[in-house]
Amino acid sequence: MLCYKGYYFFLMAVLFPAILLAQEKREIEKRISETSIDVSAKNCAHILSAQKQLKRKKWYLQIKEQDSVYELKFKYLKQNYSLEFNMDGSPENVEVEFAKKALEPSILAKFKSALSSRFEQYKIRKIQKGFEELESINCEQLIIIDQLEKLALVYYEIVILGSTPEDKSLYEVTFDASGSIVHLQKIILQSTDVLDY
Amino acid sequence: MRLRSFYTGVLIIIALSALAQSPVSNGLFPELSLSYAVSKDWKVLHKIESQWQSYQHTSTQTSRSFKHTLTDLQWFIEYGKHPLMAFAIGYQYRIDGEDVDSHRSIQQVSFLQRGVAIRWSHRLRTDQTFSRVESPEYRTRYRLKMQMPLSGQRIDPNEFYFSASNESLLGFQSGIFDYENRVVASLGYYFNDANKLETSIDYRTDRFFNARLRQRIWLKISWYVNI
Repeated sequence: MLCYKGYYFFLMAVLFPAILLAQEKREIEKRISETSIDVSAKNCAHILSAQKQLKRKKWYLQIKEQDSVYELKFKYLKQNYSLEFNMDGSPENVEVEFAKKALEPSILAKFKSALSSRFEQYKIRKIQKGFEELESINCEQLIIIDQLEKLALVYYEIVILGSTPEDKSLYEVTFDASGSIVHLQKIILQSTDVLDY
Repeated sequence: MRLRSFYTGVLIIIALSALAQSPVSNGLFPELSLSYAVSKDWKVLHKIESQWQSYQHTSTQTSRSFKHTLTDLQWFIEYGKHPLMAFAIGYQYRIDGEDVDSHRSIQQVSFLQRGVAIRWSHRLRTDQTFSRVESPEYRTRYRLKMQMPLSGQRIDPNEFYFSASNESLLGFQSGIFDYENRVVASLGYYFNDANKLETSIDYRTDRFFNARLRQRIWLKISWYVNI
């Protein structure tokens, strides 16, 4: 019996080394149904839906090493929104995708100046305006950008294709409201062997 | 819902092939790919794929024997300084189960597009095939492939994904052009970035210009190892 078990384990180890290699810690995101959402977050989403037209509404659960959040993604007035709620259902942050031309020229100039000092060349591929510290904002206001700008802490998340003397990569750059870089990280792409060969 | 669409697609392909009067064959198509970086910008890929035919129907006969059709041994070296674009050259040695073995040189450029959830790959490839008994064959190929998670907006470790591709191949041999089309629908499992396992239906049609349309349907099982 022991011998059989040993043989079975050997076979599994040879055929599926991936199972053994798969134990790595990282953030996981899963699509979830609205029924599994905390009631406060669900209520807030219902209030938003009732007030405004939210299109392509989808719920996700982000499981992080420290904590987890619910994420609601939707489209409103042709803009992509992402709303994160903590597990108690309180809103944590709102991120809205903007076209480059929709940003104020002064803030865009600050981004360009900051990026030029870090990269030989760069190309902006995606801009998101983020809002956090939402304690004084009610659910109805979470998608009203004017209100968010007045009452919440603003930041920007930008994806760029940047060249340094060493290499050319995609980066996610976070700016504060004044246009200074507060965080910069390289985006590690998944391998493309499945797609290219 | 996405799984239902996948199976519906598979059923449509099977139904279409059953209705058609043209030669049809099917079988197993296992493949194993091993890739690794040799420097920051250079990567090497080895691949072995083998076709085992289990069924063949022509206007004159039907056979149900399981036989080795071919085995391809491939080597590629890839250069990619740009994160979304890569160039590769390769060599293939084909062990032909029915004819003489052949050699093939391959050149390709591939582009990656990242959507919110879907990754798109455009691959433009040219290849040249040489053997002792046949004239050289020259082909130009374009493949569009997509890959999407079946849970969430990105593919996380230990999650399933769906991918689909269409490839058009224009060949030229002995003064005659031929066209081939390949449609592949796959259900994949992403263990992690080092290991991916895919089960696919690979539907190939060729001989559009030269003779009766030929259809081949392969059940493909692919293992991609990236170390």
